Amino acid sequence: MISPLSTTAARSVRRAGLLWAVALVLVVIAAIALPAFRTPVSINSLLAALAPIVLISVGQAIAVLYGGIDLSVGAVAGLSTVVLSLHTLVPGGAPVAVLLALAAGLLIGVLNGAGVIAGINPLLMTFAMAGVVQGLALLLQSTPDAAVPFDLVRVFSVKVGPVPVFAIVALVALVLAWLWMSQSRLGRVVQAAGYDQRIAVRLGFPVRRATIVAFALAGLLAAMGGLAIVTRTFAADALVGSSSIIDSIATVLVAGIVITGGVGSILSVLPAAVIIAVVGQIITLTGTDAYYQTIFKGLLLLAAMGVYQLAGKGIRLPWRLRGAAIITKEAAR
Amino acid sequence: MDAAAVTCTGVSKSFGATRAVSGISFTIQPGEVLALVGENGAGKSTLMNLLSGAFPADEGTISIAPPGGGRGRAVAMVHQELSLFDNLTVAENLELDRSARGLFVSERSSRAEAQRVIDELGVGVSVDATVGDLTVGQRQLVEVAKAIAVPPTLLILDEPTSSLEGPQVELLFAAVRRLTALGTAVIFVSHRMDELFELCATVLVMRDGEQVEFGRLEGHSRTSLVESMVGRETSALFPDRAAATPAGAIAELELRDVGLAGRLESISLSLLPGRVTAIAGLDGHGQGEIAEILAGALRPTSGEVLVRGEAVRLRGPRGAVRRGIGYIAPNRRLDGLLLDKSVAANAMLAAGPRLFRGGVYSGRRERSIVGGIIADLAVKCSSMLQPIVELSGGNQQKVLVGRWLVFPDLRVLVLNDPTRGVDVGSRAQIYSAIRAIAADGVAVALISTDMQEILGLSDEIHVVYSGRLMGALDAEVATERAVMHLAMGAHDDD
Amino acid sequence: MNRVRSTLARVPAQLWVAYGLVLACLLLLALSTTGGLSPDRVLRILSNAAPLGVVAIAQTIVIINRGIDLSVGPIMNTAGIMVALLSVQPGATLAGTIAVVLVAGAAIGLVNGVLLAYTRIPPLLGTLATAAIIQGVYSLITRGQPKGTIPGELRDLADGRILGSAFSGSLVVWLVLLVVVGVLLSRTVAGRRFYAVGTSPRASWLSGVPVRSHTLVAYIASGMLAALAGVLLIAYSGSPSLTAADNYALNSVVAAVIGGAALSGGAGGMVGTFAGVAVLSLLTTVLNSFNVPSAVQLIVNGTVLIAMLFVNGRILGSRRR
Repeated sequence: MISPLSTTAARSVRRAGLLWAVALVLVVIAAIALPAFRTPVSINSLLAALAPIVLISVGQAIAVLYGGIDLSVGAVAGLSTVVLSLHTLVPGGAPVAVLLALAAGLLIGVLNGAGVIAGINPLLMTFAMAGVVQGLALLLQSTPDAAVPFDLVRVFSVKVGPVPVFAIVALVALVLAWLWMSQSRLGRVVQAAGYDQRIAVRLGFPVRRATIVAFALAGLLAAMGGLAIVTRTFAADALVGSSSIIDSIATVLVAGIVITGGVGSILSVLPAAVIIAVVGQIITLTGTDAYYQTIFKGLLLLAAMGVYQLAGKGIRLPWRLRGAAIITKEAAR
Repeated sequence: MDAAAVTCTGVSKSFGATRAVSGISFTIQPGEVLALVGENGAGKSTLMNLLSGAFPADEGTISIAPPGGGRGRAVAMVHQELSLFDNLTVAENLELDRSARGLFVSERSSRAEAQRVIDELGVGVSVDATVGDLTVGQRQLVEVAKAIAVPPTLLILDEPTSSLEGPQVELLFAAVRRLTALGTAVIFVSHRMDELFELCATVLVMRDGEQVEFGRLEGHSRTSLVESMVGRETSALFPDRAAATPAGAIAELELRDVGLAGRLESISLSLLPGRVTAIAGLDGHGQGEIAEILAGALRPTSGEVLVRGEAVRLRGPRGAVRRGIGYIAPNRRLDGLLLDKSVAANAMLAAGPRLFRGGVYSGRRERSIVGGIIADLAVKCSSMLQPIVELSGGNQQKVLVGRWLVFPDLRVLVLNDPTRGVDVGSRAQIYSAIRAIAADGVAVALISTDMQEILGLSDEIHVVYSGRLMGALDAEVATERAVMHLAMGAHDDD
Repeated sequence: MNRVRSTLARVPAQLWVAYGLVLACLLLLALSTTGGLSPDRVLRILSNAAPLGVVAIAQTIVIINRGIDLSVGPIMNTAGIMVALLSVQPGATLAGTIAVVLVAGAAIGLVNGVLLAYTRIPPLLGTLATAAIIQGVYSLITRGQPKGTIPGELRDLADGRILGSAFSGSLVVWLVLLVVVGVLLSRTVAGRRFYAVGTSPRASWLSGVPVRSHTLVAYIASGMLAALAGVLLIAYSGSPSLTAADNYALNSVVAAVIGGAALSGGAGGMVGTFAGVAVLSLLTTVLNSFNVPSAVQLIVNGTVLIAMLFVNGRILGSRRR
């Protein structure tokens, strides 16, 4: 069958489907075993929590597929909530503030990418950037007259049926990101560079451009995630994204995206996020200690890595630890 | 007279202090196939990289005519190292390589194009197959398909048949003939004399970075060509063979009916002290696995490994090393060298615990030991603390040999492709060192795809094909043809 | 004389940069209005930096071996909580308590080591996961309220002057460890092999180096040293906390990297890590003495780190070419 999708992308649809099956089973079990799970309140909170985590995880997925990682996503999310609250000081008001928040995320991503191109390991670069961004956010947060633009946020928190608008935004963003990754030339270069950067450089791919774009998208999506959080919390909080880092990494791993890069599909991020959110919900509803959440997340990370390693076949993972430096052609000989 | 497709005049290139190529001048007409020959380290790779534009020459000019028809590249190169992404399909790999315009890929046209190229080449793979699932030979052909999708002015093939079996080699030759009929010039690099003489019209011989000769190939015989490459009679490169091992000597290391699921079947061979036992064959037919089993890096799924007559379970290379089995792996950059570390650190990597009493390191002792092998093997380095990455390939390899020279109580040495990328001078020294090691009573196993090396250095040649041993030959009387015959799957009694 | 010159030439450039930064910070400190520069003040700053110093030693060992240990922060918290809990048990002695805590740290390190040596889980994620699990476990056990008290004698030991000198107990512990670990890493065959494993695990493995054992030892040492650092931290802070050491994991990585360690393995050392810790603590002190608000401090720290990483990357890159 000739489909408009690349073969690898088409196969990833099938794999995502399997993950959806797992998610569905989980939901059914939860719905049957816990009456509290079926209430509209519970469903609402689940859907509301999904949007930001999906957005941030898609951004993280792009960074990981490139072969890196982005530890600044939490800080960027926090920053965008603060930037939004500065709408009172910005000509044009709330809509302009939204654009500014997104632009900030994009710019931070570009800076991250630039650092990686300059030879800094993505882990350290994004960690350092996270510090800078968090400091900036905390600084701006103490600005007098800053306030969350309630009218605009109320518009964003509108629901279509039981589904919040931002959940739809997240879904659209995910699908677009997936299509971009699999069907656009630059997206494929990102994945190729993630799998084996030496070959990509040797073949003359635009690896530098791909680096910038990958991290820029991660930053942009993290900013969108921050805005999604505001529709839930109605507050500007620089530190709101601090748990998002481990959540996004866990989601990316459960989605079957290999941490060294190049292998995996963004499409699976959605069912992975659902799985994590549902189990989190189950833990909350059964009255089990919230502390179990952290333990669970840790175990989940290990389990996900274990499962995918056992299941992985035919795909040769490069032995060498991925260095961040972009190798020039001369050195690649 | 049509303008030449490729013209090189006085081309030279140096990397730091090393002069990689100098004074190269030749032309290739459209439709002509040039054989580029020379020992490993002669400068062939550098010349190919200069032609493909990977870096500019320091002196001289290279001019390559633009591709006919306006489409495609001037130069397409098929490297020895495959540049394929295992996680993507054949079609996707081919697509990535097309410098097509547009933000998005048109899946339909991409697959159609890939199908066309694959069909034309005749290699029977599905364009939707994940490259990681293909055999090495199939991958090599996909790599070729990538390069010839649109006929370039110049096609450079670097050892393209090293993993191809008979019928696949024919496909490649047919493709080359089609391209030359269309006017593409081809540079063909290979160690296989038969292929060179079948396909090529002209020859460029390089030695130690310089051009030794350039002209028609017909004047040459196989021997004269090899002599031109090596610069001396082949026999002078290799030290004399040792006297025959006394009867009744116990094999230091023996494989009995060893198998490895899906890769090897009933391998039996013995490594006797004082003898160099070679394992020859086409790339990817199992000799690498045999080497790793001998070195303890791979565990066989059936059969026995015997050390001095006793069946053992070598628990990894550590267990092998403890029993005096040393290993020099094929890809020194990835598997042998500690690139950023000093010559001394590299040399002492294996012997450290045995040479330093109580595990305490002594700079003075290290200096005397390492100084010894630097002198014995004539390693060219500014000091033993120099980072080994700065040394030439030949000197790096000498240090790796030295790693086992300093190892006390060595019983077996397994060498896998020990002189790839090593210049002639260093090779001679390494061969002498290996013979000397054997003379000391060490059992040496030599795994190599270099025919001259196998024929010249070993005492006994086992040939492997598709994971099975096809036969054994006495190296004293063996010929390249006899070895290739077995390596291509023919049986001993044919 | 020639030997000295050639040894100096081989000092990695990163060390010069790191110590240059230390000097710059000392200079700024001297210029600040609050307190100025005196040996006493510097020693006090270093003494307060001892917890970070010890955990940075742990991180350096692991990084040299081509790993990373993000669980050192939670291990430090665990140590603090355990000290507080155990000290109020009947029959508890300080020595005994500390011994138990160190063993616990080593045990956690063993789990990390086994996980990373025997599976292909990347150290970054593996230790991130165990960090989360450890955090969850002690949060659960203490229910958010760590119990117990810190024995006074611990505080005296940590703060008290050793042999009448200006050096506090914590500082002495840190410096002694620096020397001991430094000697082990550079003067023993096994210690030097950590660098080999970090440079190329496969080449080392093929040459008979027990790569798995080295990884196990690296993480066990890391766990034990992190536990010790936790003890020093709680001696300094006086009360057990679930989150006090949360930033120590990444800060220890930063300190090691400033000192010349590379996440790709095979590089780094005690001399460099000391400089890294000194830079971090001096920078904080300098910023505090100039009354820089903490938000801006975050920005400055991050920017300095990026600058150092960039410089290090250039140095490393130019050497390889």
